Amino acid sequence: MSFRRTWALIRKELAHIRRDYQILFMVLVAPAFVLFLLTYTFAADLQQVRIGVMDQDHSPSSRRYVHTLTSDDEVLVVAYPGSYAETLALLQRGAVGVVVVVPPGFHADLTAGRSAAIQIVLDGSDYHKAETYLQNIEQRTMAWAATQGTTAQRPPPIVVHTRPLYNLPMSWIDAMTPGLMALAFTFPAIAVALACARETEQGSYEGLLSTPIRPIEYLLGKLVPYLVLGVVGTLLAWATALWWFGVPFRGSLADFTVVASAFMLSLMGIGILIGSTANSQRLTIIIIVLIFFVPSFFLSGLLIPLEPGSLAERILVRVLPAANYVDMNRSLFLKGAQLSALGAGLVNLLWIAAATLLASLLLAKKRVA
Amino acid sequence: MSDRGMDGSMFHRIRTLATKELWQLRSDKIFAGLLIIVPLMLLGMVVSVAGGETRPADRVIVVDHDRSAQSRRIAQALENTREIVVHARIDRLADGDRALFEGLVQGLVVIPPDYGRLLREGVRPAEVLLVVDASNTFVAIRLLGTASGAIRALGTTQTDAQSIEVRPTRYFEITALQGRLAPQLGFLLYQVVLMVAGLSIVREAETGTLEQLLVTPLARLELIVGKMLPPLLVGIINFWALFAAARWIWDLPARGSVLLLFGTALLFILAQSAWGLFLSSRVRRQQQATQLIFVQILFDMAFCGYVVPVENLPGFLSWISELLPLRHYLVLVRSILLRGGGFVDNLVPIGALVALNVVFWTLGVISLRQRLQ
Repeated sequence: MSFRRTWALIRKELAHIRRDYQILFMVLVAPAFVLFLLTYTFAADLQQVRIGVMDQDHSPSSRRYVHTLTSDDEVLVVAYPGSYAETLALLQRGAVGVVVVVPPGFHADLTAGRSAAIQIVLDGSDYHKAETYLQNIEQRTMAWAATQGTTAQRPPPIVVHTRPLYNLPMSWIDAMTPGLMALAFTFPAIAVALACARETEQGSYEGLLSTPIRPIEYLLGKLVPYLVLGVVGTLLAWATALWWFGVPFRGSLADFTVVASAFMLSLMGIGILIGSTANSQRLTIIIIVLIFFVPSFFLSGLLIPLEPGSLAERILVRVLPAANYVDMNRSLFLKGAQLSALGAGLVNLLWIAAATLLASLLLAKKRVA
Repeated sequence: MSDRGMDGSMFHRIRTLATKELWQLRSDKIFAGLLIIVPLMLLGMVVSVAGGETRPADRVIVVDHDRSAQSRRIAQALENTREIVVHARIDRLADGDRALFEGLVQGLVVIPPDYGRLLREGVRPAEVLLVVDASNTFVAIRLLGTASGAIRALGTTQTDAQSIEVRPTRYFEITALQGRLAPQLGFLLYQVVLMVAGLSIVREAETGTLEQLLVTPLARLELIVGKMLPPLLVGIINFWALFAAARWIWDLPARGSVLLLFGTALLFILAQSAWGLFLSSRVRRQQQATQLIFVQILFDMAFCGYVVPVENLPGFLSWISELLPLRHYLVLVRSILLRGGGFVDNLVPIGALVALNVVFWTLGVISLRQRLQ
């Protein structure tokens, strides 16, 4: 391997990137830009609940109860169904996700000191939403119950204190931004995959074959410039997270750079492998979308954590870089983890990088032969 | 079109072009195969991660400093919710903290040494500390609600002091697995259609075959109709493949009319193809198209209402989400399949898809005509 030839290839690739602003955008700016777009969706107030109320009691107690349920802006009554048939229709139309039913006898039970009941009808087709709504209404009902009748004289037998660790304000932006970086950082890898596919598609790869360049030099010539620029891109995204969105960063910047570089390297390994085996840009694109985006969104633990030690988890961390990175980056940002605590993930990332780059090298050798 | 009438009927010419497009798809066997097989594989993967559980389960460690009969009942009550798995019962808080830090569990339930005594005496409230890993807010909120509810309920059944009982009733109930499956019918279909449509015009332009098409007797409109066929066909095949797998392998309920869903899927595929053709005709090179498609997919996934409830998005962001066909289609999938909604129940999302079709097709045709001049 000759460093002079590798350097020449790197210079060629850099010239290509500099000439084409779109590649430059994809490698340098896209991570920060995409992170910016994605994070904004979490700026929404997720706690607002639209409900229907079916008051069958029509009593002072039921009116007071409904009034306290909706005393702040978080719960909004948008419908008053008169029957269960109307309730069902409301849920079926998706107009509301939950209907609070105050059954007849509510007031009588309360004033007689008996236990009263509230029924909460939920749209079970959206599990996550239904449970969030149920908990919200349940807590409000309990809080109201505590101010009424019997329980007022006696303190509740068990008090549950809660402490959200690592993200005290329970901020969606703080929790999601480090995870979303896994999606935003795929762009530089897509750029390198396309660069490889273009070289084959346009026939310039044959041109390179007739020179004394060896496969490993070709590989490094492609990888190094994209990797360096890509890592700079991740730092821009890091700065956006910190200074635009105010996400707390409790780790060290050096650790972040090491982990982001390893993640970028593994992504680029996959990108180069796909780009140099697929014979067209179109094929490269479709493979990358399907194997990067969908799994990175749904299988990486971004929303639902993977169960440690399960078969699915053990497979995913070895083939999907994002399955490692989402957790590692969250640990770096919110838990203030040191590099030593992230060893297992780092090994997985480097393993993916080594395997894919070696495979690309062997394939390139085969093509030369 | 009339000046080209000598070369046979319009339908004949469209058919010729359609045959060419389909031949191209056939000759690129890997490409065509991937379009069908990979979405199915991904569907299977998403399901396999959800596991066989009917409910998503969060893992907690109970740090029991009390070791009394009362404290043992906490672990039991947590397990009884079927939404929490007690990973271990330990004595040392430091071990629990470590497990939480490493992500092995999502929460700790800390029971102080006097818990059982206080509960038996009933003079002062017994206290329990619930620590959750809030670095994943989805899980933290869910766990806080379920765990604290279960523990509090333990107190009230013992002393019978609750004045209001909350009774949840769930209509249209599905398992967590089916809940994860349903939106994938939209996502996977969406991506495949957008990619095929988004790369069609620009690929011909880049390789120079677009000029060849222009010198054939094809009218501009015929060219557009011909170009629309591959994404439409791929979309239809994908719809049925994904639906059949979800229905018969994973038992996804189909409580409404499948034909109605297919009709709305056609509207969705058409709108998405038009948007893809529009993008494809605005860019010069495939690389540009790729960038646009990637940003678009991430954007749509974030704004379509699966990750964030769209009705809560602030002002202009919720307007943007109204412009995404995917958003309306996901509403339709949920409504028709899971809640048995009919045509009348879904007038709003269906109307939105029709309107988006009109807008996107107008944009697409105008933009393509410009490109072809």
